[in-house]
Amino acid sequence: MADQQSPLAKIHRTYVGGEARAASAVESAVGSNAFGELLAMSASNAMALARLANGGIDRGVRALRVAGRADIADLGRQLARAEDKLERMLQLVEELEGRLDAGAAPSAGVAEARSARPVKSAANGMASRSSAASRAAGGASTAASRRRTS
Amino acid sequence: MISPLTIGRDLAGMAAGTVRLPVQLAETANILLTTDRAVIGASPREVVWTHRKTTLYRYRSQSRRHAVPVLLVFALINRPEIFDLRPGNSFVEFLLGEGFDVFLVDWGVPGEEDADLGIADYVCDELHWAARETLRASGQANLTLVGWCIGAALCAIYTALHPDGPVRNLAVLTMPLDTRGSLYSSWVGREAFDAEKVASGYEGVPGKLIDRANKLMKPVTNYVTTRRKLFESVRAGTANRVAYQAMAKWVSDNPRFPAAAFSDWITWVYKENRLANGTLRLREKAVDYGAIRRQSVLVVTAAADHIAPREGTLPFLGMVTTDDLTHLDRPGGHIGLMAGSKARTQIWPDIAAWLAERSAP
Repeated sequence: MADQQSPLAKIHRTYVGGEARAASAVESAVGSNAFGELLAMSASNAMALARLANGGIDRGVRALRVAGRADIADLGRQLARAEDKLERMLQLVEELEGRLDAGAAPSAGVAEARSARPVKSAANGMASRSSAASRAAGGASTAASRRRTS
Repeated sequence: MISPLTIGRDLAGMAAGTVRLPVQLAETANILLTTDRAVIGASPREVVWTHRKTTLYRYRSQSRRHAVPVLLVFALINRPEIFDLRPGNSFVEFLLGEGFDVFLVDWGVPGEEDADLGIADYVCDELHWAARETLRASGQANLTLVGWCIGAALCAIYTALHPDGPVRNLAVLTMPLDTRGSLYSSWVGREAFDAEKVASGYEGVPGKLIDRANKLMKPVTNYVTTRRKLFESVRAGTANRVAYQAMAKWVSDNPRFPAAAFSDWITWVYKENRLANGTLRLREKAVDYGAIRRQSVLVVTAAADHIAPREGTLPFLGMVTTDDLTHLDRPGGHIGLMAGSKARTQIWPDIAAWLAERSAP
């Protein structure tokens, strides 16, 4: 095994050994109490600075009569709240539909109207099953055809 | 004593190596610089349901043999593509090949507007609704939850909150539970670390910051050894460009951790250790792992896991009350166990076999 005894191989082995020792030493350093305290304080300080800087930049942008990041985030929040309400409302509608279905078999006209509800295709172009097929597959709610894409 | 012949051979080798070195360096640099072009999460799938940033996907399968659908749940940090890393080394692909109906819940990339999403919202709304939509799409009454890392904790909490719910099988992979004595705990569990303040800086914690913290746990290994080993494999002609780039791309894709969820997670899990001492309550309901009695439970731990050390997961085995409890303890790290090159032979078949036995109609 001449290769393993060559000067280059020895240098390589020495480097790898040094790297392993350095890894071990650094890992015990980052596991120390002092490092943990420093990291915790640094993270808090960095985020406090970021908050101040972001606030300052946002005020500057708003002074130019342009919507700032906070305004856009607020708008996003309002949309998210609206989507939350819509989701819960859809669940209520499905529950009511389920109860109606359990109470009485829907007329042919209603069933037809339900299966003809528009079905959004998936983002990557996959087709979705019809509500009738879903019901047949698992007896799930009549709103099984509901598919939403963001 | 080194002979002149050896020195001569070394010099000749060095001369040849000097010629090859620039090419090898260039190739290494090329692998590192073109990582973003790697293809990950490539299995064909369709969108079943979305709400805010959460999306439920269903993977297309030609040979479904098991009735109970499998819902995969990943952590709130990094992206769930790790379940479907690359063609030929994808857990999703493997499960599809084994005849499972596979769904995946993707938490998406939360923005500042999602700062209000807390752990309770993820468990009681997003995961609950994703489970409901999985049942609806599959036409089944039960499902299997497979969670990984924080995703495993969310799955376990969900199952505990709905002990008579639709979960038939629960598989938790490298799940954090008892965080006492962990490195994370020594960093973020201390008083000086104010999770709420940290999370409020950017209306959430930037993914890159969490990535840096993860890498800081083993700085030399993550910043030096990985690249050195890549260079050595290029020199030896054994570099697997596709595998390296896929993993590197996944590692560097870090979505924001929503502020409320981050604050909840750090406070409940690392500061107060509520999961382990059984004091966690979500929306006024106590999370009691002892309520998990009807479900079959699989616990997978990794011996070299430094993010969710196996010792921290083991108490879960004594907390659940099910009679059907299996524990697989394997060598490997937090991610490598399930996504490494050996996962296909060392762990996936065991998980699939466990699931198959428990997925009859």
